[in-house]
Amino acid sequence: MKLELKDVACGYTKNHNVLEHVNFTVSTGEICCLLGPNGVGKTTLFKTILKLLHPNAGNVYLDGQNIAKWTSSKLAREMAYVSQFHVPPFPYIVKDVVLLGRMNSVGYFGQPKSHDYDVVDQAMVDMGIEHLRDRIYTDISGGERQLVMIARALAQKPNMLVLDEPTASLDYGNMIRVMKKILALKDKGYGVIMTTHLPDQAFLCDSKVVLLQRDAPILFGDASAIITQKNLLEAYKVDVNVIEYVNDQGQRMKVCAPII
Amino acid sequence: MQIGYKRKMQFLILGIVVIFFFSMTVKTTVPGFNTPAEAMRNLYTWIELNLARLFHQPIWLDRFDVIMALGGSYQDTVSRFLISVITFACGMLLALSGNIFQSVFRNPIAAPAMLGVGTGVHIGIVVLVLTYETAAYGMPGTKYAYCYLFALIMLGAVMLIAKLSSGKRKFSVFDLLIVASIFSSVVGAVTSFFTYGMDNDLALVMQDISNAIIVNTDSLSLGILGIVTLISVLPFFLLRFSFNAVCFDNEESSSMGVNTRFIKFFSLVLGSLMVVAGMVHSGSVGMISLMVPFISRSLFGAESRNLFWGNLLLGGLVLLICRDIAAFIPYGNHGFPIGGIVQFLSMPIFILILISGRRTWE
Repeated sequence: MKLELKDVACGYTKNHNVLEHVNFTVSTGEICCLLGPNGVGKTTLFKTILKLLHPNAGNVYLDGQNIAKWTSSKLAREMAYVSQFHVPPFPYIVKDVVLLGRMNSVGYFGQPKSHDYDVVDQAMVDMGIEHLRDRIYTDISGGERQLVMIARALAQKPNMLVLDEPTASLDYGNMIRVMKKILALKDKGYGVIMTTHLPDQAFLCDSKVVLLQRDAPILFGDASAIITQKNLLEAYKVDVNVIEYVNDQGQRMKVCAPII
Repeated sequence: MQIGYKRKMQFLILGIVVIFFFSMTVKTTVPGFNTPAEAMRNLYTWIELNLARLFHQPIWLDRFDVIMALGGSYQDTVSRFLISVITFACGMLLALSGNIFQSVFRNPIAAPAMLGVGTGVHIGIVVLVLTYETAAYGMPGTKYAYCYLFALIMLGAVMLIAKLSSGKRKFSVFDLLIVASIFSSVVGAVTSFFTYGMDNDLALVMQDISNAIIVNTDSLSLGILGIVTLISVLPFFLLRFSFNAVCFDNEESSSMGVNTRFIKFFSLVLGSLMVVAGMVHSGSVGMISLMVPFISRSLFGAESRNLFWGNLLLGGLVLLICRDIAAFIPYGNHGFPIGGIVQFLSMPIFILILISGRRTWE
């Protein structure tokens, strides 16, 4: 499956475009990181991809089909979204939160069947959270909640995952654990589009990168080509060294080191 | 040791059976008890007579002789049985509607009558009393017609005004809430103009009917309550899994392929219908809709399918207990209003919830 944005302009009103001329492609088995300063329009772009906002110009395609006329139900079968803020007002049990991912398949007036429970169990196994199944969602850690939310997205059985800052406000350990799971999902054939404020994550995932900038063209390409000292300076207005090293497995890796 | 959902449900059902049998023995006319054997015999006879009537059996022809032979307790048990059934149904409806409103508005103190239906019921009673005066006591059919009609008019008016006032913006449930608050206040003020002008007798009739001091147990009342229960509870029963979506962010739910706006508006209409039935048939017992969802959530968790049964059974049980307590308080000509008991009971229950520290609301 291939997600393609062609000359998309998006914003909250018709008269004001937050982003213009957005062009990029993500296929299943790939990770694409959206980078850019606060307020540049990452979440707006996500909402446009998810049809929560109508594009002011251009189109979004899935496998060559324009999704403009797709129902949210049809889109949910292909793409699942994990938002940044997801604390339900009531103390749900983890397995029940994951089960909500099956709502689209079950229908408004239907009830989950044994197959749906199997899908939920598999999603929890995939995310390594089966031990949390009977815990109260609001009692578990931020990193665990993030994995639960991704499991819920997997329960939708999508081809693409859209993750809005999946590691935001997580401690270092949880951040690495969540990133490992995201990499595992890529290896399983899911396409992942995620926003992040850490360019290192794009290097870590060897992902494609969409670098959103204010008053400058949107850059798209491989992480190593896009995340450069020059581009980061233009996008974030800070000096950052991009350092290359060889890890224990002999792989050439890159990291960002800010110059303070 | 944690008690599982099924075990809790078994306890609850056992509790309902016990309380229901206990209710059968409570006298309707004066505080006191009939013996359990007498109550069961009366109930058995009532069932037998009704079956005979249904199938045109000869026993039905002798019904008056049979009733007379049984003495005064027969009518007492039959009335008590019907009052208990109506009370249980109203408790169910109020608790379910409380859960709907608390979930949709994500607010633990969201009252089900807030969309104007409470004001609608009140207008219905005011019009009934002003038109028929003391004769209004014996006109349950007209009462239902007025109360349901005005409640539906209020609900429709609130929805229409909210839709018009939202203009080109998306029509949200919060628009609905603001419009309902303002509109209900204005209509309530107009209605109070008429209630303040009532003389003492009419004010008493008004109070008695509002508090449903006399529970109408005629077949029309049972029929209307049954129909409203069916058309409001059945769709919600089917919607109970999808209803979980309203507890989550709109965008999250939408990305899961669920139209939360549809679920919210549909369930609010069902919840409004439930609360109208509860108010019309059992009087001002709104605290049930606030209290029971809290208890249910702490006992059965937050998942809507579990909560559906929890609220349904617990709501009925709590209101039935309140009805039995009210029967033992000598008060006026018709007994103590059940609403007073509900309000008394709600205070210790809320204190217990707070002390136990069980989080039912984040």
